[in-house]
Amino acid sequence: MTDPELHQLVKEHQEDGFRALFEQYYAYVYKIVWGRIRTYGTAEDAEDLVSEIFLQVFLHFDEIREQSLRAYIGTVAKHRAIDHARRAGTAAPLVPADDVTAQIPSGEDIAKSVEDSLENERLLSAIRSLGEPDSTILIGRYFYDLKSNEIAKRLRMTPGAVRVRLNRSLKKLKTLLTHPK
Amino acid sequence: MRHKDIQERLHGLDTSAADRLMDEYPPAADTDAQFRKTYDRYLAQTGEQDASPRRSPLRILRFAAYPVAAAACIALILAIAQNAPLTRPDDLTQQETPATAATTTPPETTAPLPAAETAAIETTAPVLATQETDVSLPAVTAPAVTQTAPSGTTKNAASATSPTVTTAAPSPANASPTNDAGPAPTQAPTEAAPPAVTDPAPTEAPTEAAPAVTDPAPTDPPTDPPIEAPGGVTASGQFTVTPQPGSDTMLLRYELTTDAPADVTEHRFDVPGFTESGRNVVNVSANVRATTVSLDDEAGQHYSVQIYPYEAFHMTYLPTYYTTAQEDAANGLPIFLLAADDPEGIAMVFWDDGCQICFVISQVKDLGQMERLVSRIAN
Repeated sequence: MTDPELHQLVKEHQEDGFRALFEQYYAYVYKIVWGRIRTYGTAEDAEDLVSEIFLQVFLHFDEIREQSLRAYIGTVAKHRAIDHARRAGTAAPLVPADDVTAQIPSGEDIAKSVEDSLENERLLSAIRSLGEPDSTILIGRYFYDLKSNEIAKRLRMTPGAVRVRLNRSLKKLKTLLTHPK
Repeated sequence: MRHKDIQERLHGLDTSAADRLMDEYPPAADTDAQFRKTYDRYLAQTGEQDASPRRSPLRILRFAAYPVAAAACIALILAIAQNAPLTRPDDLTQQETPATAATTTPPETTAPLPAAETAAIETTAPVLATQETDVSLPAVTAPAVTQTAPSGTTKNAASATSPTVTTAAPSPANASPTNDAGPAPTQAPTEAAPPAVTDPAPTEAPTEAAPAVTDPAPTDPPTDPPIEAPGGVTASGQFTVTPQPGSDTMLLRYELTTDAPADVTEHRFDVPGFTESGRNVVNVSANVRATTVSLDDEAGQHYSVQIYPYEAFHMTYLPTYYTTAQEDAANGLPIFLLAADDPEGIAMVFWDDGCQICFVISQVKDLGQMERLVSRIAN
Protein backbone atom coordinates (compact mmCIF):
# COMPACT_ATOMS: atom_id res chain seq x y z
CA MET A 1 0.00 0.00 0.00
CA THR A 2 1.42 3.38 -0.93
CA ASP A 3 1.67 6.34 1.42
CA PRO A 4 -1.26 8.22 -0.15
CA GLU A 5 -3.37 5.06 0.05
CA LEU A 6 -2.52 4.63 3.70
CA HIS A 7 -3.33 8.26 4.42
CA GLN A 8 -6.63 7.90 2.62
CA LEU A 9 -7.50 4.73 4.51
CA VAL A 10 -6.67 6.32 7.84
CA LYS A 11 -8.84 9.27 6.91
CA GLU A 12 -11.79 7.08 5.97
CA HIS A 13 -11.42 4.46 8.65
CA GLN A 14 -8.78 5.20 11.16
CA GLU A 15 -8.46 1.78 12.78
CA ASP A 16 -8.21 -0.09 9.50
CA GLY A 17 -5.69 2.41 8.22
CA PHE A 18 -3.50 2.18 11.30
CA ARG A 19 -3.74 -1.57 11.21
CA ALA A 20 -2.57 -1.62 7.59
CA LEU A 21 0.27 0.73 8.49
CA PHE A 22 1.23 -1.45 11.44
CA GLU A 23 1.27 -4.63 9.41
CA GLN A 24 3.17 -3.02 6.56
CA TYR A 25 5.96 -1.59 8.68
CA TYR A 26 6.06 -3.95 11.65
CA ALA A 27 8.95 -6.08 10.39
CA TYR A 28 10.87 -2.95 9.36
CA VAL A 29 10.52 -1.37 12.79
CA TYR A 30 11.21 -4.61 14.62
CA LYS A 31 14.40 -5.08 12.66
CA ILE A 32 15.65 -1.63 13.58
CA VAL A 33 14.76 -2.13 17.22
CA TRP A 34 16.08 -5.65 17.58
CA GLY A 35 19.27 -4.71 15.76
CA ARG A 36 19.91 -2.16 18.51
CA ILE A 37 18.78 -3.94 21.63
CA ARG A 38 19.42 -7.61 20.90
CA THR A 39 22.64 -7.67 22.89
CA TYR A 40 20.94 -6.72 26.12
CA GLY A 41 17.18 -6.67 25.59
CA THR A 42 14.53 -9.32 25.49
CA ALA A 43 11.81 -10.05 22.97
CA GLU A 44 9.34 -8.39 25.34
CA ASP A 45 11.48 -5.23 25.40
CA ALA A 46 11.47 -5.22 21.61
CA GLU A 47 7.73 -5.62 21.41
CA ASP A 48 7.16 -2.84 23.93
CA LEU A 49 9.49 -0.59 22.04
CA VAL A 50 7.83 -1.35 18.72
CA SER A 51 4.49 -0.56 20.29
CA GLU A 52 5.84 2.76 21.58
CA ILE A 53 7.20 3.64 18.17
CA PHE A 54 3.92 2.97 16.42
CA LEU A 55 2.08 4.89 19.09
CA GLN A 56 4.32 7.84 18.29
CA VAL A 57 3.62 7.41 14.59
CA PHE A 58 -0.14 7.20 15.14
CA LEU A 59 -0.11 10.31 17.31
CA HIS A 60 1.74 12.34 14.69
CA PHE A 61 0.28 10.72 11.63
CA ASP A 62 -1.44 13.86 10.38
CA GLU A 63 1.82 15.80 10.54
CA ILE A 64 3.80 13.52 8.24
CA ARG A 65 2.06 14.14 4.97
CA GLU A 66 5.05 15.79 3.38
CA GLN A 67 7.59 13.06 3.93
CA SER A 68 7.83 9.38 3.26
CA LEU A 69 6.18 7.24 5.87
CA ARG A 70 9.02 4.75 5.73
CA ALA A 71 11.63 7.42 6.33
CA TYR A 72 9.65 8.94 9.18
CA ILE A 73 8.96 5.62 10.83
CA GLY A 74 12.57 4.56 10.43
CA THR A 75 13.82 7.75 12.04
CA VAL A 76 11.43 7.44 14.97
CA ALA A 77 12.41 3.80 15.41
CA LYS A 78 16.14 4.56 15.42
CA HIS A 79 15.79 7.42 17.89
CA ARG A 80 13.60 5.38 20.21
CA ALA A 81 15.94 2.43 20.07
CA ILE A 82 18.92 4.66 20.91
CA ASP A 83 16.96 6.20 23.79
CA HIS A 84 16.21 2.73 25.03
CA ALA A 85 19.87 1.78 24.87
CA ARG A 86 20.81 4.91 26.77
CA ARG A 87 18.27 4.20 29.48
CA ALA A 88 19.65 0.69 29.72
CA GLY A 89 23.15 2.11 30.05
CA THR A 90 24.49 0.25 27.08
CA ALA A 91 25.06 3.10 24.67
CA ALA A 92 28.68 3.57 23.63
CA PRO A 93 30.33 6.07 25.98
CA LEU A 94 31.88 9.22 24.62
CA VAL A 95 35.63 8.87 24.37
CA PRO A 96 37.97 11.83 24.87
CA ALA A 97 40.01 12.62 21.77
CA ASP A 98 43.32 11.78 23.38
CA ASP A 99 42.07 8.32 24.28
CA VAL A 100 41.04 7.46 20.77
CA THR A 101 44.28 5.66 20.03
CA ALA A 102 43.52 3.30 22.87
CA GLN A 103 40.34 2.33 21.06
CA ILE A 104 42.09 1.20 17.89
CA PRO A 105 41.99 -2.58 17.88
CA SER A 106 45.27 -4.44 18.00
CA GLY A 107 46.28 -7.07 15.47
CA GLU A 108 45.24 -9.75 17.95
CA ASP A 109 41.80 -8.25 18.28
CA ILE A 110 41.39 -8.11 14.54
CA ALA A 111 42.41 -11.74 14.16
CA LYS A 112 39.92 -12.76 16.83
CA SER A 113 37.25 -10.67 15.20
CA VAL A 114 37.85 -12.33 11.84
CA GLU A 115 37.82 -15.73 13.48
CA ASP A 116 34.54 -14.95 15.23
CA SER A 117 33.07 -13.73 12.01
CA LEU A 118 34.03 -16.94 10.22
CA GLU A 119 32.61 -19.01 13.07
CA ASN A 120 29.39 -17.06 12.90
CA GLU A 121 29.17 -17.61 9.17
CA ARG A 122 29.67 -21.34 9.70
CA LEU A 123 26.93 -21.37 12.30
CA LEU A 124 24.53 -19.46 10.07
CA SER A 125 25.31 -21.67 7.15
CA ALA A 126 24.65 -24.77 9.27
CA ILE A 127 21.38 -23.33 10.52
CA ARG A 128 20.28 -22.56 6.98
CA SER A 129 21.11 -26.08 5.90
CA LEU A 130 18.64 -27.47 8.43
CA GLY A 131 15.81 -26.34 6.21
CA GLU A 132 12.37 -25.15 7.18
CA PRO A 133 10.83 -24.94 9.68
CA ASP A 134 13.84 -25.97 11.76
CA SER A 135 15.97 -23.00 10.80
CA THR A 136 13.14 -20.58 11.53
CA ILE A 137 12.56 -22.24 14.89
CA LEU A 138 16.23 -21.97 15.80
CA ILE A 139 16.48 -18.37 14.71
CA GLY A 140 13.24 -17.55 16.54
CA ARG A 141 14.49 -19.17 19.71
CA TYR A 142 18.09 -18.05 19.79
CA PHE A 143 18.17 -14.88 17.74
CA TYR A 144 14.77 -13.35 18.46
CA ASP A 145 14.62 -14.93 21.94
CA LEU A 146 11.09 -16.14 21.45
CA LYS A 147 9.55 -18.80 23.64
CA SER A 148 8.39 -22.11 22.23
CA ASN A 149 4.74 -21.17 22.45
CA GLU A 150 5.35 -17.87 20.65
CA ILE A 151 7.20 -19.64 17.86
CA ALA A 152 4.48 -22.27 17.75
CA LYS A 153 1.80 -19.63 17.37
CA ARG A 154 3.65 -17.97 14.56
CA LEU A 155 4.38 -21.19 12.72
CA ARG A 156 0.96 -22.64 13.48
CA MET A 157 2.46 -25.61 15.23
CA THR A 158 2.02 -26.90 18.75
CA PRO A 159 4.53 -25.84 21.40
CA GLY A 160 5.41 -29.47 21.95
CA ALA A 161 6.23 -29.97 18.30
CA VAL A 162 8.39 -26.84 18.35
CA ARG A 163 10.33 -28.11 21.35
CA VAL A 164 10.86 -31.47 19.73
CA ARG A 165 12.03 -29.95 16.49
CA LEU A 166 14.28 -27.55 18.35
CA ASN A 167 15.90 -30.38 20.22
CA ARG A 168 16.31 -32.38 17.08
CA SER A 169 17.74 -29.41 15.21
CA LEU A 170 20.29 -28.76 17.92
CA LYS A 171 21.55 -32.30 17.64
CA LYS A 172 21.80 -31.98 13.89
CA LEU A 173 23.52 -28.65 14.26
CA LYS A 174 26.03 -30.13 16.62
CA THR A 175 26.80 -32.85 14.12
CA LEU A 176 27.10 -30.36 11.29
CA LEU A 177 29.49 -28.17 13.22
CA THR A 178 31.64 -30.93 14.66
CA HIS A 179 31.72 -33.15 11.59
CA PRO A 180 31.32 -30.88 8.59
CA LYS A 181 30.95 -32.72 5.32
CA MET B 1 27.59 -26.50 21.00
CA ARG B 2 25.41 -25.50 23.91
CA HIS B 3 22.23 -23.49 23.70
CA LYS B 4 23.94 -20.56 25.34
CA ASP B 5 26.78 -20.62 22.83
CA ILE B 6 24.36 -20.42 19.94
CA GLN B 7 22.47 -17.61 21.61
CA GLU B 8 25.64 -15.66 22.33
CA ARG B 9 26.93 -16.15 18.82
CA LEU B 10 23.68 -15.06 17.24
CA HIS B 11 23.33 -12.08 19.54
CA GLY B 12 26.92 -11.17 18.88
CA LEU B 13 26.55 -11.02 15.11
CA ASP B 14 27.82 -7.83 13.62
CA THR B 15 25.26 -5.40 12.31
CA SER B 16 25.45 -6.39 8.68
CA ALA B 17 25.21 -10.11 9.45
CA ALA B 18 22.29 -9.47 11.79
CA ASP B 19 20.58 -7.36 9.15
CA ARG B 20 20.99 -10.11 6.59
CA LEU B 21 19.65 -12.65 9.03
CA MET B 22 16.63 -10.50 9.82
CA ASP B 23 15.99 -10.05 6.12
CA GLU B 24 16.19 -13.77 5.65
CA TYR B 25 14.13 -14.64 8.72
CA PRO B 26 11.86 -11.66 9.26
CA PRO B 27 10.36 -11.30 12.69
CA ALA B 28 6.99 -12.89 12.38
CA ALA B 29 4.73 -11.73 15.12
CA ASP B 30 1.22 -11.78 16.36
CA THR B 31 0.71 -8.38 14.83
CA ASP B 32 -2.99 -8.42 15.50
CA ALA B 33 -2.55 -8.56 19.26
CA GLN B 34 0.27 -6.07 19.19
CA PHE B 35 -1.68 -3.68 17.02
CA ARG B 36 -4.65 -3.94 19.35
CA LYS B 37 -2.44 -3.10 22.31
CA THR B 38 -0.89 -0.15 20.53
CA TYR B 39 -4.15 1.15 19.15
CA ASP B 40 -5.79 0.93 22.55
CA ARG B 41 -2.97 2.99 23.98
CA TYR B 42 -3.48 5.48 21.17
CA LEU B 43 -7.19 5.71 21.91
CA ALA B 44 -6.49 6.12 25.59
CA GLN B 45 -4.07 8.97 24.92
CA THR B 46 -6.20 10.82 22.45
CA GLY B 47 -9.60 10.12 23.90
CA GLU B 48 -10.66 9.00 20.46
CA GLN B 49 -13.36 6.81 21.86
CA ASP B 50 -15.06 9.90 23.13
CA ALA B 51 -14.70 11.50 19.74
CA SER B 52 -17.37 9.22 18.40
CA PRO B 53 -20.82 10.62 17.63
CA ARG B 54 -21.77 10.00 21.25
CA ARG B 55 -19.66 13.00 22.18
CA SER B 56 -21.84 15.99 22.87
CA PRO B 57 -22.17 18.79 25.37
CA LEU B 58 -24.53 16.53 27.25
CA ARG B 59 -21.88 13.80 27.67
CA ILE B 60 -21.32 15.00 31.22
CA LEU B 61 -24.67 13.38 31.90
CA ARG B 62 -23.00 10.01 31.60
CA PHE B 63 -21.32 10.66 34.91
CA ALA B 64 -24.71 11.24 36.42
CA ALA B 65 -25.89 8.01 34.88
CA TYR B 66 -23.63 5.88 37.07
CA PRO B 67 -25.24 6.73 40.43
CA VAL B 68 -28.66 6.50 38.82
CA ALA B 69 -27.91 3.06 37.46
CA ALA B 70 -26.44 1.96 40.78
CA ALA B 71 -29.52 3.18 42.63
CA ALA B 72 -31.75 1.35 40.17
CA CYS B 73 -29.80 -1.85 40.68
CA ILE B 74 -30.03 -1.58 44.46
CA ALA B 75 -33.74 -0.88 44.22
CA LEU B 76 -34.21 -3.90 41.99
CA ILE B 77 -32.25 -6.16 44.34
CA LEU B 78 -34.28 -4.94 47.31
CA ALA B 79 -37.50 -5.45 45.43
CA ILE B 80 -36.51 -8.98 44.47
CA ALA B 81 -35.51 -9.70 48.04
CA GLN B 82 -38.91 -8.52 49.20
CA ASN B 83 -40.54 -10.87 46.72
CA ALA B 84 -38.31 -13.82 47.56
CA PRO B 85 -41.23 -16.25 47.90
CA LEU B 86 -41.51 -16.09 44.12
CA THR B 87 -38.50 -18.38 43.79
CA ARG B 88 -39.66 -20.97 46.29
CA PRO B 89 -40.05 -24.43 44.77
CA ASP B 90 -43.72 -24.62 45.60
CA ASP B 91 -44.29 -21.40 43.72
CA LEU B 92 -42.33 -22.73 40.76
CA THR B 93 -44.59 -25.71 40.47
CA GLN B 94 -47.51 -23.37 40.17
CA GLN B 95 -45.87 -21.82 37.13
CA GLU B 96 -45.13 -25.03 35.28
CA THR B 97 -47.68 -24.58 32.57
CA PRO B 98 -46.94 -21.97 29.95
CA ALA B 99 -50.34 -20.46 30.42
CA THR B 100 -49.62 -19.89 34.06
CA ALA B 101 -46.20 -18.59 33.26
CA ALA B 102 -47.49 -16.17 30.72
CA THR B 103 -49.96 -14.70 33.08
CA THR B 104 -47.68 -14.62 36.06
CA THR B 105 -47.89 -11.43 37.99
CA PRO B 106 -46.12 -10.46 41.12
CA PRO B 107 -47.82 -11.69 44.23
CA GLU B 108 -49.82 -9.31 46.28
CA THR B 109 -47.56 -7.12 48.28
CA THR B 110 -48.19 -4.22 50.52
CA ALA B 111 -46.81 -1.88 47.89
CA PRO B 112 -47.10 -2.27 44.13
CA LEU B 113 -43.88 -3.05 42.33
CA PRO B 114 -42.39 -0.69 39.77
CA ALA B 115 -43.20 -1.57 36.19
CA ALA B 116 -39.58 -2.53 35.36
CA GLU B 117 -39.44 -5.01 38.17
CA THR B 118 -42.72 -6.56 37.13
CA ALA B 119 -41.36 -7.05 33.65
CA ALA B 120 -38.23 -8.67 35.02
CA ILE B 121 -40.24 -11.11 37.04
CA GLU B 122 -42.45 -11.94 34.10
CA THR B 123 -39.49 -12.74 31.92
CA THR B 124 -37.95 -15.09 34.44
CA ALA B 125 -41.02 -17.24 34.77
CA PRO B 126 -40.99 -18.82 31.27
CA VAL B 127 -37.31 -19.61 31.66
CA LEU B 128 -38.01 -21.56 34.81
CA ALA B 129 -40.77 -23.43 33.05
CA THR B 130 -38.41 -24.36 30.21
CA GLN B 131 -35.90 -25.71 32.66
CA GLU B 132 -38.53 -27.98 34.05
CA THR B 133 -39.25 -29.49 30.64
CA ASP B 134 -35.58 -30.02 29.84
CA VAL B 135 -35.32 -32.69 32.50
CA SER B 136 -36.56 -35.32 30.07
CA LEU B 137 -33.82 -34.66 27.51
CA PRO B 138 -31.65 -37.76 28.16
CA ALA B 139 -34.37 -39.95 26.74
CA VAL B 140 -33.63 -38.49 23.32
CA THR B 141 -30.32 -40.37 23.17
CA ALA B 142 -31.99 -43.74 23.51
CA PRO B 143 -32.27 -44.44 19.73
CA ALA B 144 -28.51 -44.20 19.45
CA VAL B 145 -28.23 -47.52 21.26
CA THR B 146 -30.11 -49.33 18.57
CA GLN B 147 -28.19 -47.47 15.90
CA THR B 148 -24.78 -48.77 16.93
CA ALA B 149 -25.85 -52.16 18.21
CA PRO B 150 -26.23 -53.84 14.77
CA SER B 151 -22.51 -54.05 14.42
CA GLY B 152 -22.94 -57.49 15.89
CA THR B 153 -19.95 -57.15 18.11
CA THR B 154 -19.58 -56.79 21.79
CA LYS B 155 -17.63 -53.62 21.56
CA ASN B 156 -17.36 -51.40 24.55
CA ALA B 157 -17.51 -47.65 24.64
CA ALA B 158 -14.28 -47.00 22.85
CA SER B 159 -15.02 -49.44 20.10
CA ALA B 160 -18.36 -47.80 19.56
CA THR B 161 -16.51 -44.67 18.68
CA SER B 162 -13.80 -46.54 16.83
CA PRO B 163 -15.26 -48.68 14.06
CA THR B 164 -11.87 -49.70 12.81
CA VAL B 165 -11.03 -51.38 16.05
CA THR B 166 -12.49 -54.64 14.87
CA THR B 167 -10.50 -54.54 11.67
CA ALA B 168 -7.64 -56.92 11.22
CA ALA B 169 -4.26 -55.89 9.92
CA PRO B 170 -4.91 -52.79 7.85
CA SER B 171 -5.27 -53.09 4.15
CA PRO B 172 -5.32 -50.40 1.51
CA ALA B 173 -9.07 -50.35 1.83
CA ASN B 174 -8.66 -48.91 5.28
CA ALA B 175 -6.79 -45.98 4.04
CA SER B 176 -8.36 -42.96 2.58
CA PRO B 177 -8.72 -42.58 -1.19
CA THR B 178 -5.66 -40.41 -1.20
CA ASN B 179 -3.67 -43.30 0.09
CA ASP B 180 -2.67 -44.59 -3.28
CA ALA B 181 -0.02 -41.95 -3.62
CA GLY B 182 2.33 -44.06 -1.56
CA PRO B 183 2.96 -47.75 -1.13
CA ALA B 184 0.07 -49.33 0.69
CA PRO B 185 0.52 -51.87 3.43
CA THR B 186 -0.56 -55.35 2.60
CA GLN B 187 0.78 -57.03 5.67
CA ALA B 188 2.23 -55.97 8.95
CA PRO B 189 5.73 -57.15 9.78
CA THR B 190 6.13 -60.65 11.03
CA GLU B 191 6.49 -59.52 14.56
CA ALA B 192 3.45 -57.35 14.40
CA ALA B 193 1.20 -59.15 11.97
CA PRO B 194 -1.47 -61.22 13.56
CA PRO B 195 -4.13 -62.99 11.57
CA ALA B 196 -7.35 -61.17 11.06
CA VAL B 197 -9.51 -61.13 14.11
CA THR B 198 -12.92 -59.69 13.77
CA ASP B 199 -14.00 -59.57 17.36
CA PRO B 200 -11.41 -58.40 19.74
CA ALA B 201 -13.42 -58.77 22.96
CA PRO B 202 -15.70 -61.77 22.79
CA THR B 203 -16.05 -62.13 26.51
CA GLU B 204 -17.65 -58.81 27.22
CA ALA B 205 -21.37 -58.74 27.73
CA PRO B 206 -23.41 -56.60 25.37
CA THR B 207 -25.07 -54.91 28.27
CA GLU B 208 -21.81 -53.27 29.15
CA ALA B 209 -21.91 -51.37 25.92
CA ALA B 210 -25.25 -49.76 26.55
CA PRO B 211 -24.26 -46.91 28.83
CA ALA B 212 -21.39 -45.84 26.64
CA VAL B 213 -23.28 -45.75 23.35
CA THR B 214 -24.51 -42.32 24.26
CA ASP B 215 -21.31 -40.99 22.73
CA PRO B 216 -22.48 -38.25 20.39
CA ALA B 217 -20.35 -39.24 17.40
CA PRO B 218 -20.38 -43.00 17.09
CA THR B 219 -20.25 -43.25 13.32
CA ASP B 220 -17.05 -41.38 12.54
CA PRO B 221 -13.85 -43.38 12.30
CA PRO B 222 -11.19 -42.41 14.80
CA THR B 223 -9.35 -40.22 12.41
CA ASP B 224 -7.58 -37.37 14.01
CA PRO B 225 -8.03 -33.89 12.65
CA PRO B 226 -6.01 -33.08 9.57
CA ILE B 227 -2.66 -31.60 10.32
CA GLU B 228 -1.09 -29.03 8.14
CA ALA B 229 2.42 -30.11 7.44
CA PRO B 230 5.09 -27.45 7.17
CA GLY B 231 4.75 -27.39 3.41
CA GLY B 232 1.07 -26.59 3.66
CA VAL B 233 0.07 -30.19 3.00
CA THR B 234 -2.70 -31.65 5.07
CA ALA B 235 -2.62 -35.12 6.41
CA SER B 236 -4.70 -37.20 8.72
CA GLY B 237 -4.30 -40.50 10.43
CA GLN B 238 -6.36 -43.49 11.31
CA PHE B 239 -5.96 -46.00 14.07
CA THR B 240 -6.58 -49.70 13.97
CA VAL B 241 -6.16 -52.10 16.82
CA THR B 242 -5.64 -55.78 16.39
CA PRO B 243 -5.31 -58.37 19.12
CA GLN B 244 -2.63 -60.95 18.74
CA PRO B 245 -4.01 -64.46 19.04
CA GLY B 246 -2.43 -66.47 21.79
CA SER B 247 -1.10 -63.33 23.39
CA ASP B 248 -2.49 -60.57 25.50
CA THR B 249 -0.79 -58.01 23.33
CA MET B 250 -2.73 -55.57 21.25
CA LEU B 251 -1.30 -53.90 18.23
CA LEU B 252 -2.13 -50.32 17.52
CA ARG B 253 -1.46 -49.21 14.03
CA TYR B 254 -1.64 -45.67 12.90
CA GLU B 255 -1.69 -44.88 9.25
CA LEU B 256 -1.07 -41.47 7.93
CA THR B 257 -2.77 -40.57 4.72
CA THR B 258 -2.09 -37.49 2.76
CA ASP B 259 -2.57 -36.15 -0.68
CA ALA B 260 1.10 -35.35 -1.01
CA PRO B 261 3.10 -37.96 0.88
CA ALA B 262 6.44 -36.74 -0.33
CA ASP B 263 5.91 -33.42 1.39
CA VAL B 264 4.89 -34.71 4.77
CA THR B 265 7.78 -34.66 7.12
CA GLU B 266 6.07 -34.66 10.44
CA HIS B 267 2.97 -35.98 12.03
CA ARG B 268 2.00 -35.76 15.61
CA PHE B 269 -0.79 -36.80 17.87
CA ASP B 270 -1.51 -35.87 21.41
CA VAL B 271 -2.78 -38.00 24.20
CA PRO B 272 -4.36 -35.39 26.42
CA GLY B 273 -5.11 -36.28 29.97
CA PHE B 274 -2.33 -38.80 30.33
CA THR B 275 0.79 -38.38 32.34
CA GLU B 276 3.90 -40.37 31.90
CA SER B 277 4.96 -42.30 34.96
CA GLY B 278 7.94 -44.12 33.56
CA ARG B 279 9.70 -45.46 30.55
CA ASN B 280 12.26 -48.01 29.67
CA VAL B 281 14.11 -49.13 26.60
CA VAL B 282 14.40 -52.81 25.88
CA ASN B 283 16.53 -54.50 23.26
CA VAL B 284 14.31 -56.43 20.94
CA SER B 285 17.20 -57.61 18.84
CA ALA B 286 20.75 -56.60 18.15
CA ASN B 287 19.71 -53.56 16.14
CA VAL B 288 16.21 -52.96 17.31
CA ARG B 289 15.08 -51.43 20.51
CA ALA B 290 11.60 -50.82 21.82
CA THR B 291 10.42 -48.23 24.24
CA THR B 292 8.07 -49.12 27.03
CA VAL B 293 6.14 -46.19 28.32
CA SER B 294 3.94 -46.15 31.36
CA LEU B 295 1.01 -43.81 31.14
CA ASP B 296 -1.52 -42.92 33.81
CA ASP B 297 -4.82 -41.28 33.05
CA GLU B 298 -6.65 -38.82 35.28
CA ALA B 299 -8.43 -41.60 37.12
CA GLY B 300 -5.14 -43.22 38.00
CA GLN B 301 -5.63 -46.02 35.50
CA HIS B 302 -2.30 -47.38 34.44
CA TYR B 303 -1.36 -48.12 30.85
CA SER B 304 1.76 -49.74 29.65
CA VAL B 305 2.49 -48.97 26.04
CA GLN B 306 5.31 -50.53 24.14
CA ILE B 307 6.44 -48.81 21.03
CA TYR B 308 8.12 -51.09 18.56
CA PRO B 309 9.89 -50.17 15.41
CA TYR B 310 7.84 -50.89 12.41
CA GLU B 311 9.56 -51.90 9.25
CA ALA B 312 7.42 -51.42 6.25
CA PHE B 313 7.32 -49.33 3.16
CA HIS B 314 11.08 -49.59 3.10
CA MET B 315 11.38 -47.47 6.16
CA THR B 316 12.49 -48.07 9.67
CA TYR B 317 11.29 -46.30 12.74
CA LEU B 318 13.29 -46.58 15.84
CA PRO B 319 11.80 -45.47 19.10
CA THR B 320 13.88 -43.02 20.93
CA TYR B 321 13.70 -40.56 23.72
CA TYR B 322 13.04 -36.96 23.38
CA THR B 323 16.32 -36.30 25.11
CA THR B 324 18.48 -38.86 23.38
CA ALA B 325 19.69 -38.92 19.84
CA GLN B 326 19.62 -42.29 18.25
CA GLU B 327 18.93 -41.09 14.76
CA ASP B 328 22.61 -40.69 13.97
CA ALA B 329 23.51 -44.15 15.13
CA ALA B 330 20.56 -46.02 13.80
CA ASN B 331 19.97 -44.25 10.52
CA GLY B 332 16.33 -44.68 11.30
CA LEU B 333 13.48 -42.35 11.87
CA PRO B 334 12.72 -41.44 15.41
CA ILE B 335 9.60 -41.53 17.45
CA PHE B 336 9.64 -38.85 20.05
CA LEU B 337 7.59 -39.06 23.15
CA LEU B 338 7.45 -35.76 24.88
CA ALA B 339 7.89 -35.39 28.56
CA ALA B 340 4.88 -35.64 30.79
CA ASP B 341 5.21 -32.08 31.96
CA ASP B 342 4.21 -30.91 28.54
CA PRO B 343 1.12 -28.84 29.15
CA GLU B 344 -0.68 -30.49 26.31
CA GLY B 345 -0.13 -33.96 27.58
CA ILE B 346 1.79 -36.81 26.11
CA ALA B 347 2.65 -36.36 22.51
CA MET B 348 4.26 -38.59 20.01
CA VAL B 349 5.90 -37.16 16.99
CA PHE B 350 6.95 -39.06 13.94
CA TRP B 351 9.10 -38.10 11.08
CA ASP B 352 9.71 -39.75 7.84
CA ASP B 353 11.41 -38.91 4.65
CA GLY B 354 8.27 -38.64 2.69
CA CYS B 355 5.88 -41.52 2.55
CA GLN B 356 3.10 -42.98 4.54
CA ILE B 357 3.65 -43.43 8.19
CA CYS B 358 2.65 -46.57 9.91
CA PHE B 359 3.72 -47.88 13.24
CA VAL B 360 2.70 -50.35 15.81
CA ILE B 361 2.17 -49.85 19.45
CA SER B 362 1.92 -53.01 21.39
CA GLN B 363 0.34 -53.02 24.78
CA VAL B 364 0.16 -55.89 27.17
CA LYS B 365 -3.22 -55.07 28.59
CA ASP B 366 -6.80 -55.93 28.01
CA LEU B 367 -8.67 -54.70 24.99
CA GLY B 368 -10.92 -52.35 26.91
CA GLN B 369 -7.98 -50.39 28.19
CA MET B 370 -6.34 -50.37 24.82
CA GLU B 371 -9.44 -49.13 23.11
CA ARG B 372 -9.80 -46.46 25.71
CA LEU B 373 -6.29 -45.30 25.02
CA VAL B 374 -6.90 -45.37 21.30
CA SER B 375 -10.10 -43.48 21.77
CA ARG B 376 -8.29 -40.82 23.74
CA ILE B 377 -5.58 -40.58 21.14
CA ALA B 378 -7.96 -40.51 18.23
CA ASN B 379 -10.23 -37.92 19.71
